[in-house]
Amino acid sequence: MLKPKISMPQIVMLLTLSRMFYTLNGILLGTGDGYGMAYLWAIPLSALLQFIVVLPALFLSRRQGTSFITAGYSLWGKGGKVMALICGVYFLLSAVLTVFSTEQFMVNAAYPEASPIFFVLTLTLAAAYAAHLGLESIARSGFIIFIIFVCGVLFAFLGNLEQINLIFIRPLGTGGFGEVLRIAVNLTARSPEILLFAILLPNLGKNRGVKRGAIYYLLLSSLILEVIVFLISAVLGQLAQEEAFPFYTVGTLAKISIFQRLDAVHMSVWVLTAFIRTGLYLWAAVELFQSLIPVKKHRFVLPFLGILALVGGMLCGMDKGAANGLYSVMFSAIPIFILLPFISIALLITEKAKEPQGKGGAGDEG
Amino acid sequence: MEEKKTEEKIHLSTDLNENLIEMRARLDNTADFMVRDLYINDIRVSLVMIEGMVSLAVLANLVVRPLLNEEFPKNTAPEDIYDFIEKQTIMAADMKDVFLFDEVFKMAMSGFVVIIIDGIARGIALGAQGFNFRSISEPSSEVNERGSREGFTEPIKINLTMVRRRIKSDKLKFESLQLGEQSKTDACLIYKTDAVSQELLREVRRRLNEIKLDVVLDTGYLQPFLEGKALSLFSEVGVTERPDTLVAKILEGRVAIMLDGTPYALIVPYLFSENFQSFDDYAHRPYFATFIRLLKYFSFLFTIYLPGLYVALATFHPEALPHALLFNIASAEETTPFPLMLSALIIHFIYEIMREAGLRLPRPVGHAVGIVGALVIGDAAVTAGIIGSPMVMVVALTAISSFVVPSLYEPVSVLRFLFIIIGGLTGLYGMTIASAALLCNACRLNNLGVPFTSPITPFSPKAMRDVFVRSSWKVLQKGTHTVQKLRGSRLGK
Repeated sequence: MLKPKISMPQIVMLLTLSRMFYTLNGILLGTGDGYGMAYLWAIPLSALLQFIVVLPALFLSRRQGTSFITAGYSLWGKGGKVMALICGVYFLLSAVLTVFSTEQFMVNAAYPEASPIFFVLTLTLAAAYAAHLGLESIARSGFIIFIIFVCGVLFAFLGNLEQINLIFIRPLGTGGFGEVLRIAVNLTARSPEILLFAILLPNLGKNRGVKRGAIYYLLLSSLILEVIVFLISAVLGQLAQEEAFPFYTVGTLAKISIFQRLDAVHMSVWVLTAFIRTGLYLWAAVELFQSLIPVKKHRFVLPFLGILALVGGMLCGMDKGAANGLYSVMFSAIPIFILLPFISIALLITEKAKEPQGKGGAGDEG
Repeated sequence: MEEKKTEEKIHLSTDLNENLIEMRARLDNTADFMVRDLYINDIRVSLVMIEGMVSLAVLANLVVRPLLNEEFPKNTAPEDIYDFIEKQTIMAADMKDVFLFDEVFKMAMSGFVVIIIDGIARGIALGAQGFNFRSISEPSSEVNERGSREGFTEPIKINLTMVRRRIKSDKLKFESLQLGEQSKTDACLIYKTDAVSQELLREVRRRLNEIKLDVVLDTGYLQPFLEGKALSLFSEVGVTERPDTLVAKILEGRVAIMLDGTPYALIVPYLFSENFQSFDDYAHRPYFATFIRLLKYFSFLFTIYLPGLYVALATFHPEALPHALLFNIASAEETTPFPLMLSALIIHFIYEIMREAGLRLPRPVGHAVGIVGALVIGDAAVTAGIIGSPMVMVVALTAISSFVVPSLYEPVSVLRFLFIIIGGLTGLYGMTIASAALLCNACRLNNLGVPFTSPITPFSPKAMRDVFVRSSWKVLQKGTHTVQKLRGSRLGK
C-alpha cells in the first residue's frame, strides 16, 4: 500500500524536519514550566519513549516484511481499513494543525495586517501540489530544506553567541524526574512522525536497516531539538515561557556583521518546514484514504482532502475553541501511546494465532 | 491489375526509360534533378543525381573515367557492368544497392549519385557528396578558455567522425535512423554498448519512434519527445555543440542523438548539476575549477532571486536591510513614479527586448543595441526619474549573472519575472513558498529513470566529487560514476 520510493536516510531527514516544526513556536512546550534543564533532560528521554513505542511496529514489520498498515489489512481485513481510516484522519488533522500554526505565526509575527485566509490558502495549495507530486519529490526536496534548516539554526546560534547566558537555563525544579518524565511524555505525544515512520517502513524484504533508521531518526531529531531548546533557554530564559514564537524571537535578536534582524531568514525557514510537513502529511492521508476506495475514485481524494485541510485551517483560525479542541485531541497520549504500540502488539498476537493455520503472509491491501 | 501497377511504380523496373519517366513524374520535373547518360556497348547507363550535391570530380574519377576507359567485350551484359562498377568504386565513401524509387530519391537527396543500368531492376548509390557546408569552427554557444576549438557542423557524417576520433573503442556504436515523415532527416543514436543500459536504450528508441512529425529540422523538435511527462521549466535533455563534451557524456553511459543539418546534439539523461559543468573545469586546476563551479551556482541563484528579493525586502521587510543601504534605496526610489515591483518588471522587460534585438540584428548594426541599451537604461531612465539607480544595479547584476550559465537562460528568464511579481505582492513568504514548490517540481523529474536532481538529491557521495567541487583527476580516476549507478539510487522503481 504505502510503498515508499525513498531511502532510509531520506526518511530520517524528512521526519526530523517535520518534527522540528514545533520547535519554531511555543507549541512544543505546552507544559507551562518554561524551558530549562528539565526540558533538556526530557528530550533524550522522549527519544527513548518513542523508540519503545515504535518497537512493536518494527518487530511486526520484521516478521511481516511489510508496513504496519499493510499488516493490518492482511491480518485483520476490514479491521485494517479502520486502522487506515484512523491514521488517515490523524495525518489530515496534523496537516490542518500545521497550516493553522503557520497562519498564526504569519499573522502575529511577520504580517500583522495580512488576512489569515491568504496564508491558509497558499500553504494548503502549495502542500497539495507537493502531495500530488509524490513522496519521492517531497523527500528529495526535504533533504535540501533540511540542509537549509540546519544552516538556519546554525545562523541563529552564531548570531546569538554573545547573548547566551547559562544562568538563564532553569535548573531542575522540585519536580525532579517526575517533571522530566511529564515533559518527555508530552514531547512524545506531539510526535506524529514516529507513527508515520512505522507506516513508511520500506518494503525492502525483511526490513534491512529499519531499526537503525529509527535510532538515527530519534538521535538526529533529539540532537537538533537539544540545540534549539538550549539556545532558546540560554538566550531568553524566563521570557521563553511567555513567548508564542520563542525561536523567532531568538532570530530577531541574532546579529552577524552588518546583518541584523534575521527574523526574515527564520520566517523563510519556518515556511519551508511547514510546507514539507503539510505536504508530507497530506500525502500520507491521501495514500491511506485511497486504500479505502476503488481505484477509479482515487483522483478525487487529494482535492477533497486539500479542501478539508483548507476549511479546517480556516475554522481553527476563526474559532479558537476549535483550535484548542484540535490541539487537545492531537496532543493527547492516545494516537502515539495507544494506536501505535497496542495495535502493533494486537497484530503480532493475531499473526501468532494464525500461524498454526498457515503463515499469515504480508500482502497488499484488500 | 492496379495493385501490380502500384507495385511496379514502387520498385525500379528493368526498363531504364520507364524508371526515368517515373522519377521525373514523381519529382514533377523539378529543375535540380539531373540525369547523365553513358553508353557501354549500347547499354544505357544513367547517373541520377541532384544538382549541386555531388562532387563531379569524385564522380568522374570513380565512375565515369573507369567506365569509359574500360574495354568491355561485345557480349557484355548489364550485370557485368553492374559488377564492374561495384568493384571499381570500392573506394567510395559509401555504397548501397537501391531497389525502390523512394530509396533512389532519398539517396540522391543526400548527395549520392545513383547509377541505374538498363536491364537491371536495381541501382547503385555511391557516396560522392560535394555540397558545400560550414567548415568545422569553434562552437558559438559553448566557448571555453582551454580545450578543443572544434564544434559540430551540419553534416552528420562529419560529426560522427569527430566522435569516433575521440573514442577509439570497438564498443562505440552508431545507430542510424530516419526522422520526419517528409523530411526523412538522417539521425543517429550514439552510445557505448558496454556502458549504456539496455532499458534506457529501448526507451529512447521507443520515444523516437513515436515522433510523427512531417519535418524534423533541428534537435529542438526532438526534445519534447525525449523529455518525461512531468511539466517543468527545466529541460531534462542536454544539448551540446562540442564533441568533447558529448564524448564525455557517452562514456558515462548516456545516449547521444545527432541529427543531420544541425550542429546541436542531444544527450539523455541529463542532470540539473550538469548545467554548471563545462569542459574548462577539467582543464583548470581543481581549486580554481571549484571556485568557478561555485560561482556558477551562486550566479544562478543570484539571477533568479536578486530582483525579486530586492523588491520583497524593500517593500515588506525593510528592517532586514542595513540602515545605510536602506536609506540609499529609499531616497532613490522615492522620486520614481512607479511602485518598486512595476519598475522592476518594466526595466527587466526592456532588457529582454534589447537582448532579443541584439540577437536578431544584422552584425553591422548590432553594436547599436549596446549603445542604445546603455543610454536607455543606464542614463536616460535614471535621469528622467523613471527608475532608481539601485534598480539599474540590480538589472545589470542580474543580466551579467544570467550569462554565466547560458544553458539555463530559458527557465531563468521566466523565473525572474515570476519572483519579481511574487516578491512584490507577497514578500518573502510568497517567494519562499514558490521556491519550495519549484524545488519539489524539479525533484519530481525522473526522466528515463534518473532523478534530475541527483546526485545532490538523492544524495550520492561519490558522484558529489564533481558537482559543487571539482576533485582532482587523481581522485576522479578512482571509478567513473555512470548513469547506471544514478538509476540504481532511485528505489522502488
